[in-house]
Amino acid sequence: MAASIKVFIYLQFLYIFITPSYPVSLPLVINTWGFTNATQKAWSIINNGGKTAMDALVAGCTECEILQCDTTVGYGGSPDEIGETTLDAMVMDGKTQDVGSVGDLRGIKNAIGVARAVMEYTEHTLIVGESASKFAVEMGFTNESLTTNTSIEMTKNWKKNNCQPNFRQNVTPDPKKSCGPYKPIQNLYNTYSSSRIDKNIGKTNHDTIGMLIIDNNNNIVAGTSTNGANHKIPGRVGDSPIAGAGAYARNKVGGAAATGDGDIMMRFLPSFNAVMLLELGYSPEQAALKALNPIIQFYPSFVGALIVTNTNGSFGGYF
Amino acid sequence: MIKPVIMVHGGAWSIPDNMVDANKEGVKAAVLAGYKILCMGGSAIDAVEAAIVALEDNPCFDAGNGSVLTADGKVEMDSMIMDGSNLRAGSVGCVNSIANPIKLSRMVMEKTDHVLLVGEGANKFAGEMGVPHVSIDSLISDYAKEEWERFSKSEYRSAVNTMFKKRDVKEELVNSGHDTVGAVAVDAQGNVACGTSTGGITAKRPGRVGDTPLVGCGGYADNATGGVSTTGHGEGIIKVCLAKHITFLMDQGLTAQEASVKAVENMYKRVGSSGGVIVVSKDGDIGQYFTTDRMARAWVKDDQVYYGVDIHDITSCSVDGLNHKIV
Repeated sequence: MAASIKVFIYLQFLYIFITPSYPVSLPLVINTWGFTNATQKAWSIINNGGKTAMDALVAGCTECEILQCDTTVGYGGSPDEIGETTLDAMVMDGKTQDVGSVGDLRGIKNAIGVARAVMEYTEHTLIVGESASKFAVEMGFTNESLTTNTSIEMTKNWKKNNCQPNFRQNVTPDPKKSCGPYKPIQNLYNTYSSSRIDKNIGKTNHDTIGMLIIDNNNNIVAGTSTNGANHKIPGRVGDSPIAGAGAYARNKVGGAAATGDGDIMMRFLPSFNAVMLLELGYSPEQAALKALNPIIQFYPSFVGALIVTNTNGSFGGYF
Repeated sequence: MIKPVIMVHGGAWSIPDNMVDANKEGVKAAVLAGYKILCMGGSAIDAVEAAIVALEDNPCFDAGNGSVLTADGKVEMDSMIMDGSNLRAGSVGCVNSIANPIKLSRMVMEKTDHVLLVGEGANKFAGEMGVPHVSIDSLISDYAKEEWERFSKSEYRSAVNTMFKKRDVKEELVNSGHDTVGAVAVDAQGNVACGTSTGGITAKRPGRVGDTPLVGCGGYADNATGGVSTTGHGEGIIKVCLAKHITFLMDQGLTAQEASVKAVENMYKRVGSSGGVIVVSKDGDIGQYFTTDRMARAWVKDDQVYYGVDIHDITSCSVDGLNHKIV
């Protein structure tokens, strides 16, 4: 039985990791970055006879929310301009194509749990902001602060440093030198800088847990959870909770999950692209490469990764 | 240099007979507002914005003024705009108290490094950017209120089933809700743009965001392929990433029209949702398809304006002949 073979994979930050496609036994759990606690948790659930791939996905990502993985998932990380931590998350069921997601979720720690509740207890796919928090409380989640001493300190230091870096542009006072409040400079639309290096986007900023799970019956689920980008503008939602951007799953084809600079990635829909490419016959690592290529062409210094798997369990990644 | 083309839609849904004329006039006026800009050498993105502003300001359509209401009787609007030349995009979800969400979306694109702002954060951003605050009442049309009263009794699913019922499914056609507006254009420089704006679906849950502001779902624009704007059952559109699916198919060699049909039919087959799309290719070819009863749309190509709501019944006349002579 496939369950006897433990397979879990993680991507390390520091080197490019392209795996040759090779089939593995099922079930399969694969997630981004070195979040092995999450992988282990999901693995233990998927091998529990009574639980589904979705149960395992939510349990695995929840583990990262609790552990504040790399400070980029869960409470206490990535405070926005006014110091609040807000969360984005999604789940997608490859069998039904059902999606549940939350963006700009406030005051609730278990973002992926709430995303699942959106999918299972509403006929919507995305609920955001304060209303998402109200919904979560209705569904039995606890309302509690996501702010910690660490996130308070981060905001204080950022303000002392003239609010650098930030995500403002074409406004006055000069956002490269000064905090707000800002006013727009009318009719000014500079070409977007092709480098986001000044934003310190990387493993400890702007990252996400993205997870794909295939069960013994080749059913695939995908999910993500993140606290977004440090000092983001309040209300900012990144790629993570957007179907096709943060993650995508389709039975009989495969799934993909992305992580990295969401403000760039959500304009290219890499996860959707990768799954479409799998459908055209590309291998998982070819699909990952081709899906990220357009992004790299526009943004050579882009930071991010994509994991892709087909429903037979062949997987690949590109960073 | 190519001949600019612009197309708009006022929503794919079961438009009742007594609203057909207003819908036709509305989309015609909007497409001409956008075309005027293109004729003066303006950009696709300026043209898309102008067309959508016209639709948002028209209470006949579910966007801006005329937005449908949430379950608790309030207005929450979503919108997106995308520039195919550099794949920049800006979008807002769940904003209220502004007249033109499409303008705020453009500010997200031009004044921030983000793509999507939602809720309170988006409303605050509007204030910072000097967008005038308007009363919520000024955005609520009588029709939106009536519809809310009708559907809040039977809830969201009923609104969806009635408005977005598939065209060949025989059901009694009741007066039912509105839908999204959108525009796509290609300018003389070959730059493509798209935009979409909506008040959502009647009786939606507060905080619910549909496909409209999600890049790849409510719209997509890429100079390499073309521009798309979608309308219909938002949850279904999200599940299949409808707009991106269309540009993906065009990249595989399908025409704008072939891609429109394939993607919209696929959405119904896979997830049971109905809707419609408008597409303009980078070369100025038009694509349009919908599986709902009707879709209000208009386009201008080669100095002819075309408009209609039914699948086959399109009126056309020359732009000059309308006394909207473009100088």
